[in-house]
Amino acid sequence: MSRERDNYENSGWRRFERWMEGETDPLQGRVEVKRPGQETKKVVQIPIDYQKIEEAVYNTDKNLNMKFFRVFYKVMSAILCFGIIAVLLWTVSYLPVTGNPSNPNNNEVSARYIESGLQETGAVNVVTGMILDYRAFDTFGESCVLFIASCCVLILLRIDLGSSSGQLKRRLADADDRYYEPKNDVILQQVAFILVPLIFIFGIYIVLNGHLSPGGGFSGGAVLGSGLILYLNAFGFKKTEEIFTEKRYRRITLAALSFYCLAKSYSFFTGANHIPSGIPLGTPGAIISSGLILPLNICVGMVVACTMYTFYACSERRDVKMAAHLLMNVEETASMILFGVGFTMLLLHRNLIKKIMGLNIMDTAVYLFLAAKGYIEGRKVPIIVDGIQDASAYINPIPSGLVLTGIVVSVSVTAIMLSLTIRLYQRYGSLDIDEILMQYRKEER
Amino acid sequence: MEFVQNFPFFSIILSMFAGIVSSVLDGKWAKRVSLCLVTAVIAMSAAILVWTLRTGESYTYMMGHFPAPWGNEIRAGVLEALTATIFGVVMLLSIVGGMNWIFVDVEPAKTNLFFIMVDLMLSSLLAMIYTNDLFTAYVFVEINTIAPAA
Repeated sequence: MSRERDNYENSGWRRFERWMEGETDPLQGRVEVKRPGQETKKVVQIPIDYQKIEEAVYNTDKNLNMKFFRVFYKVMSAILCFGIIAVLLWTVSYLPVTGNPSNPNNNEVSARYIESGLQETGAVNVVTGMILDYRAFDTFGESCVLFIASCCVLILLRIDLGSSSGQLKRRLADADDRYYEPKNDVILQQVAFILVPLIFIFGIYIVLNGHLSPGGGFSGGAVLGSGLILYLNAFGFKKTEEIFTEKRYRRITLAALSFYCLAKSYSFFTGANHIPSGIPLGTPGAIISSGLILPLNICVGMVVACTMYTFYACSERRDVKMAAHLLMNVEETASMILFGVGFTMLLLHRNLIKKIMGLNIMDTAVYLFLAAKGYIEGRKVPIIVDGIQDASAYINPIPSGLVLTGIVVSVSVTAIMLSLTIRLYQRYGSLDIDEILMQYRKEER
Repeated sequence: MEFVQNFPFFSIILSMFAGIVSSVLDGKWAKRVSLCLVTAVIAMSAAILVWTLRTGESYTYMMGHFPAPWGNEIRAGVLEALTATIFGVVMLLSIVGGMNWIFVDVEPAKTNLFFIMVDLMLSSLLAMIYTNDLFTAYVFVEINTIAPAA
């Protein structure tokens, strides 16, 4: 039987425990502390008229400094944006010409993916083989980005009526779209009745043929998710939850991600220890082929579809030479201008939704840039046809994989930003950043 | 290859798996899983540290059947193992130190989501420490920025 030590209270472990519990103040005895009661001077509370302060600070007719600052901010933002666009365009003018096979990004990495991809992965679609076999660890990370983003949206927007305060509960209940159910839009319901099964079949086709043709888990999952969203819009939450509840979503995501994790762990472990995996690749071109790629595509598709639906359901509830070179690199030039437009929106607009749109335009500009860098003039998409496995027959598949990753990350980040915006709107009743900051400062005081 | 050399991979994949499993557990079980995970990660990181100190060399670990730059690769040495051990200890102290507040500050129905963030943040930290690939680092930086913000 254990016995408490005689000097347990003074032991090192107990002192550490007290510190962890927050019972000990590390500054006690080291700094002079004046308790509130000891002060002799009486503090007079002056009521603060926030309306007056707001009027004095934000009314540009009265506050000339604010008026000057706003104009100065806009001018400086415009100068900054044009400066950035100019620097980016200047950089593009020095980049190698788009579509040239001798560009440095068309190296031995992309050559091996095309020339040996079919034998090593069994996938006819080189991009799918690359992301789900060669670089499956990155793709697992991407799936986890989607998973963590859906968890974030649930944290921010899920209505937990059991633990919320009365006022918050009422406000959240008002924001809940279920208030408007049952939905009686006959046209939408009839259209959804015909379209939803077709969308599902198309989504499943894209997922199952991801290793044979353009598509795969990410794109097929997005199609399946949009089918679910259409069904939700047409028939409402009550009917949708007969087939798809939050519990079911969690179980599907758990099953899909667990399978991915276990299957690829086996693959990573055997690969690192130089043990043959023993998974047959099948006949290239057949539906049951390419080893683990088909089941992994199904897993990714399920995660993407569930995540898209969760995002929606939660938010619903709430010089001449230089110029010539620039024209030769027209895609890169357009992407840099697009990037500048997005950056300008981010800086100049005070509305949070418009800022998010600006960020998305910047994202799109980067995808366009990457896609342009992968393009090689006169070559085909990297899907092996007629057994031709020559690297000189296809475009570079690596940028396509990078764009896919970028899109996944961008969707996740956008969903989180929109969720935060919804929460801010619910709390402050405004999307204007200045207004939100003003109200926040009021609360702080 | 000695078995201990698999530990960096085990640490990362276990952290990710714990995060995924916690989505169907309640808050208390998610907490237990998280504490066990962090303890296991500290033990494995310490074992790698001892092994790398003893051999005096670092090594690369192929994540799959393809070598870098075609496939993914992680790298473990004294610095990586030491950093992972320190991060694990800091994570354990943070969870234990804030244990009482977690169940006060976070709504009861969302406690498991909090521990998902903890597990995945640890996995992203470990992946960033060990990875030998810039693109893998980019993917895990995303997890690392989202999880603490959540």
